[in-house]
Amino acid sequence: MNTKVNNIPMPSENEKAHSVELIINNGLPPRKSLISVITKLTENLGVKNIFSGVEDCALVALLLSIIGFFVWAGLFKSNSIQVKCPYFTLFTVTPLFYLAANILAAWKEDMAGVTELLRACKYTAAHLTALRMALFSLVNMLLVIPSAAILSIASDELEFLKLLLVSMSSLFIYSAFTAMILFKSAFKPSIILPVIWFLALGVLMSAIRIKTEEFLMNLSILTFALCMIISAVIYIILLDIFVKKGGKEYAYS
Amino acid sequence: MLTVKNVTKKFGNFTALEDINLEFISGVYGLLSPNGAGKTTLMKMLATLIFPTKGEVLYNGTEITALDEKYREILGFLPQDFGYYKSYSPVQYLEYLSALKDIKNPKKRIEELLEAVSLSDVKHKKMKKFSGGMIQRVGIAQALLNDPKILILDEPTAGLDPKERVRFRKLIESLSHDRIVILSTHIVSDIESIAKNVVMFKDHKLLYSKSPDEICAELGAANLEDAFMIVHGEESQ
Ligand SMILES: Nc1ncnc2c1ncn2[C@@H]1O[C@H](COP(=O)(O)OP(=O)(O)OP(=O)(O)O)[C@@H](O)[C@H]1O
Ligand SMILES: [Mg+2]
Repeated sequence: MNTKVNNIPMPSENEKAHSVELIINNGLPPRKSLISVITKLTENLGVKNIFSGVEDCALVALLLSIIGFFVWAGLFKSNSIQVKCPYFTLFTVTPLFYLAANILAAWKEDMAGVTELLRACKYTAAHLTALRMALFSLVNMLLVIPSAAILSIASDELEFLKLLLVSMSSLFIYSAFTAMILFKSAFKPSIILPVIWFLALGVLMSAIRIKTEEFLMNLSILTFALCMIISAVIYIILLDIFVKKGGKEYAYS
Repeated sequence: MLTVKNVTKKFGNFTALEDINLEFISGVYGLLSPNGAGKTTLMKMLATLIFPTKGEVLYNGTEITALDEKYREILGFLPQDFGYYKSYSPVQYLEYLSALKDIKNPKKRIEELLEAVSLSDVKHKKMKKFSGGMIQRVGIAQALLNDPKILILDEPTAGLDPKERVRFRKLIESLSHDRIVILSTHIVSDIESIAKNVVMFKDHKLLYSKSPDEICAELGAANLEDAFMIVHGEESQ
């Protein structure tokens, strides 16, 4: 070993500790996590104000989903096409509330022109969006439970747990995609994802619905449980990144 | 201190601002330039809404985007197009924004600010019934909610009548001692008497960041309006 190199005065452990302390004390604030943003914002706003300005959007989405469900239930009873592929149909329509609520809310904020203003607040439009998305997911989950229950009661062949897990998988897969395109859409309402979702599933539905249904039917409950967990985790991670990066990635230009 | 260091902003191939260097210490800085000069572009960069293509914006030596919420906590911003929900009253809207700005017990502050912009009488009325100037005053009030150290106002006097304009000028003057106030305007009298520095752009480059008197002396102009005409009078619109 070259002794010259070893002669270079190295900082002592004390000096090192001091430097680290300096950096920590004067350093940059850690970015807030999804959980801390959700809890703090909910506390500040109060549950009532989380949807400030977009309450009507959430209501319209809710109405749309309930009507959608009854239309489907009607078809289901009348023994039309959907009865042959209940799992597939359920998979396709489950994210309806989440999808409609997100798009309507983004559209309304865009129309009101409030995004710029919100992006300059301590809790930014990104934080608010993430919180609303999380809550829309929650509401959608709550809608799924009675839907699955009604279906399983209506038909002896359909299993409650499987219906539930198929729905939840669909919801979180869709949610994860939504979070993914958030990075590009810069708070503008984007109908690309719903178009792709319904187009792709619609094509499957018209072309090979029986096969797709059989495929879904043959998948085990465990598979759907895994699918749900994995997509939910991806969704949460993406939202967390979205919250931590704040504005930077989401600038208009 | 807020520092704009070698900042260039391009939109595609179009250069909106080129190699801008500015320092804001405290007091009123008036951006006075023709339409399309880049005032809004600069202010959006200072408010972290868009980012320099080249160069950086520093607050006390740290990039403002790295400061993240610590920076936004001390920032008050009025965009050129102030957005609001029509069915909300000023009080409701300001309470909502206070929550996003993480302001504790904002009620008293909201009352004071609405008084300062003479909206106390209509504070519970829906904003859809408001005139343009009244909306603008709600915008000014929200920018002041968090008692910001850096106040950025993009054409705050647009739509204000002469009386409100005077009131606004007094309000800004009273606030300017211990904070940075950056405002853009097309109306020379908005800033002539209160601006410590007037910032002027020409051809997307910085032309002046100097006191009104210095600019007038340099150009041999009688007043700031003259100075503006000397610099921009020849330009075709
Ligand atoms: N997002 C954008 N994409 C492309 N060009 C843009 C964008 N934003 C601004 N510009 C251009 O940059 C230039 C500066 O615009 P800016 O809005 O900063 O001007 P301004 O000084 O605020 O004008 P005004 O007095 O009319 O408000 C203009 O030529 C404008 O067309
Ligand atoms: Mg402008």
